[in-house]
Amino acid sequence: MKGILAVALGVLTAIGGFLDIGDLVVNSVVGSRFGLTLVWVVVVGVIGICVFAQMSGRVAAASGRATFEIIRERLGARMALANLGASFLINLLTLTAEIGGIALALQLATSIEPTLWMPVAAFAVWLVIWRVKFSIMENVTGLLGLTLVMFAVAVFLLHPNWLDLGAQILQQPSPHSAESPATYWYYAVALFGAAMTPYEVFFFSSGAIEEKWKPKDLAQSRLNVLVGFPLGGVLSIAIAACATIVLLPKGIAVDSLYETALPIAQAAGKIGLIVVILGFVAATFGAALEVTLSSGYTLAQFFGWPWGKYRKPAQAARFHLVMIVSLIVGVGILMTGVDPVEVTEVSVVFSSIALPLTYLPILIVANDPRYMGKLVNGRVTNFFGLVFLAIILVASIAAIPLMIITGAGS
Amino acid sequence: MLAVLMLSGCSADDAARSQLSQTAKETGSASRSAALALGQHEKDRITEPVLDTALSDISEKLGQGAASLTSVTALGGIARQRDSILTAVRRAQDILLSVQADLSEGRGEGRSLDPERLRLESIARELLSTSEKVSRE
Amino acid sequence: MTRHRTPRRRRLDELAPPPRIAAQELDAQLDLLDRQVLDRDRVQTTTVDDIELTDVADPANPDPARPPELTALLTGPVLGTRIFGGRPPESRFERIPWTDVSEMGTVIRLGVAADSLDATWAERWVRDRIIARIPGGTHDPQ
Repeated sequence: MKGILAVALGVLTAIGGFLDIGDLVVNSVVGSRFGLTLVWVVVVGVIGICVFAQMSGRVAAASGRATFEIIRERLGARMALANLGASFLINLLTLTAEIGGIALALQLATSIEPTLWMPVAAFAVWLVIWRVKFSIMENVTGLLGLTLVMFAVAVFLLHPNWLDLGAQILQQPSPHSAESPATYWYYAVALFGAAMTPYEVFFFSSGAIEEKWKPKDLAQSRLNVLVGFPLGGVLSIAIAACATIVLLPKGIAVDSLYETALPIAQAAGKIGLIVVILGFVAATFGAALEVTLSSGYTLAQFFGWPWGKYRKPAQAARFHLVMIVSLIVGVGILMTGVDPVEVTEVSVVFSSIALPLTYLPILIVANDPRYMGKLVNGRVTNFFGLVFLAIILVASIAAIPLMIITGAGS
Repeated sequence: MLAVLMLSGCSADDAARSQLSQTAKETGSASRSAALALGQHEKDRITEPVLDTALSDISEKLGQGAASLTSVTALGGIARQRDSILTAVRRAQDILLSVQADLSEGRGEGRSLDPERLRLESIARELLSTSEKVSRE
Repeated sequence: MTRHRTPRRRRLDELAPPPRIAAQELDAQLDLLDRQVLDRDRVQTTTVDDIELTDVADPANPDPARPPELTALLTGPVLGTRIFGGRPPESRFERIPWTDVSEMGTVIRLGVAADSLDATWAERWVRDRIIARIPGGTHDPQ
């Protein structure tokens, strides 16, 4: 019985932890402007992150080392430094977006101005990283994030025209003449970056070391990834569907978090809203924890510093210092008055740009028998890995031109 | 956005029209959002904090819309269009202010906000159709 | 024959065998540089940012009988100079003496504790000045 509970916990945590502020915002924007015609991007993105999360977990379990340690050895200091620089900056941007997201979610819960919540949120994130055990942190935020299942429930409660929704999924490019094809592809890139978040890979592989995975733990990890992530993807689609059903017909284009929640009011009233807002807080808080830890992991692993939440902070001093400074910088950026939703939209597009930097090293290391032993990549995995690398490169190269042409999607 | 259009060789008129259309669309969408939120309030399906957040956010958006409209330099027909859009936006702003005042004073006292909702809905329709019209010129 | 391919003008013709391991040929670039260094308790210490060799009288015509010898692993600012060029003064080198190395593999093991090394001063500084001053810094996470 205990075994089944442990397995279930892993899967449920993976589902609940899948969504972050990028997913919440971009899926809802896309649903309100493009209907379900971009669902295929979510599907592709989820398959992609399954392939690479699995790979990076396997690298950690087989080699006992985390990603950035190996990147430097394998690719040399120069390439790894470039990789580190870009990854760290984009991580910082994502961190800023997540802290902003926590503040927005708390505003929806309390009416209190998000600017007042931002320092509180950052402090809370730091405190949890400082004092709370890794597994407890993951399980609590993951399980609370499951409340976002409300979006899937809401889709049914809204009694949509199912045939119409289904037709939209298969129609492309956009049948909505109000939006240009360039804008459609811009949001495709944004949605892709939101689904395949780079920090997830750093976090996943370092987290495997934190929890001291051995090859025998890989079966559980495979289950978490292959069941949990797709179900998380289904929730992404549900968020888009709610926006499509309620907001698209009214011509309301989402650009705030409350608009993401508005369809829930129609579907399930006040109770639904309370549930969903709890989910928003859990998802953004959980993501903020992961992104902050990722910034510590990437820097510490490159320079060879002691790292890990399992250590006392005093035994991983620079690792913790990096995270504290990152949080302070993130809050600083937010306090200049930028709109957290805009920061989120920019961060997902830049995530798309950074994806090749993140995934190529994993692919290279996962193919190296010196680190992987018998767990080295098979032909099937490599096939998918290469296909996705090609997709990632296309998205990465297209991102900036599309951003300029469409004026960041306006 | 305006700069991009100017650089791509459009005339000042086209740039102004594009700006007007965009702003009308955004403020129309915001007004409709407000109407939707008020509708949920009428059916007691929305929590106070969410409604508060929505209304203050929309107020801000309308304010930004009004500011960007007043910055558009236009002559003749376009100026008239700009003025009519601006008037609609200001009407929406007024309604929102009064709704927010009502809510903060007489919470749950039972006065229906449906008239305001309907007015916001009609302003939204007006703004969105103006946006379409202007963009087709 | 092994070569040390960096902007330095020194060439490494033969690597001194590490202590307590049978002599073997190793490529400094592949097997030493950028490797993680762990101390005797398997705690991460640093990565190898560069290596220090003894001086050679005439780098252009090395004397095979008197090759440069590896004296230390280097860390710290030398990483910047290794990638971008230049060379910090020797007094600024942060050294891990080669004699402290006990094992080489995918990671480099030391026979001493990280805290006892000069080169780990930065970690100690941050720990003592900042982290230990914050409440809970010396406790295990719960």
